[in-house]
Amino acid sequence: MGRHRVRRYGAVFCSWRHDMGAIADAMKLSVEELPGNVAKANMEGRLDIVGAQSIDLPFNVLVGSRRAIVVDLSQVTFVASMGLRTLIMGAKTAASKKGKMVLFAPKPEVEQVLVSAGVDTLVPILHDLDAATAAVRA
Amino acid sequence: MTPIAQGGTDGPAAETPSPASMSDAPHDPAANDARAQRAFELMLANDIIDLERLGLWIDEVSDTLGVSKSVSFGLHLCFEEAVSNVIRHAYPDTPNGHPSRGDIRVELRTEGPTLLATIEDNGVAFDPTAAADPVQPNSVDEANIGGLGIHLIRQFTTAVHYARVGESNRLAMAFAL
Repeated sequence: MGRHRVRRYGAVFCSWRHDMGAIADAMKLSVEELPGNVAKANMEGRLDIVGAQSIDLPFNVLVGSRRAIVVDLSQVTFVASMGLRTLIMGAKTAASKKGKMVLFAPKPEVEQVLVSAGVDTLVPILHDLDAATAAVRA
Repeated sequence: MTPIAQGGTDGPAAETPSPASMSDAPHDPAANDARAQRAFELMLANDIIDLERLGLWIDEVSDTLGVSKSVSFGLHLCFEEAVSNVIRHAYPDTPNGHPSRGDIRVELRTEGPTLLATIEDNGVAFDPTAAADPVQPNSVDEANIGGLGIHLIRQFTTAVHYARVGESNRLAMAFAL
């Protein structure tokens, strides 16, 4: 493109290739049972395009099969619009099944993205686990 | 495509293979104070898979420039939104359904107290800043997903500017250092 010669990464590019397996499951989703039949969905990693794609299906299955879901974002280090989409789609699925879903303990910079996009007006964001479980059990 | 900055006949701190060489050479070798203008450039293909390479590059440049965690977060966010937009819109598939190949050039440059990010492609004209801001939905059921990208870019930058320059789209985003 133009006069700038493209110098492809040598070592870095190769090491990235080598890490493909790690990247594919960079975003982790696990489920923890809390009292009162509450499912805590623990997300871990970067909720970017790749991360969102990797958990979209299992997350949607989870929120579609439970009535009370606390999404623990405390271990999520990044979120962009595709990750917001994952969360909003999850909330829609939960609402369509008469379930309740809240977001729990996002890091400040992640919460800033959630609030900037207005996600907090659609899905409550709570920082106290007792309050979060009470909100979805109600 | 225009030169990315003044001077620099040998490609100003072009795509850099390692953090070590990235820390080399501000444009003007005489200006080596902290405020010296420094520029970094990376070429990407119009493929989502290249976003991983973009992320590594942002981390490297952030480390080299010593920017704050929140600026680095904003860079990751705004570059992901802007570059994925280019991947979606700039190079449409051919009429028989084959993906079109295209390059995306990204650049980060310090200008005094400002960090300037530029994204340039040679694809079809597309002004992401012309999109209307999404209307705040009242409920989950109404929530219309999408259109959040440019909204987030506006929230996390101090200025955004689009220009069609010749056959290129150029999106510039400014961040306060």
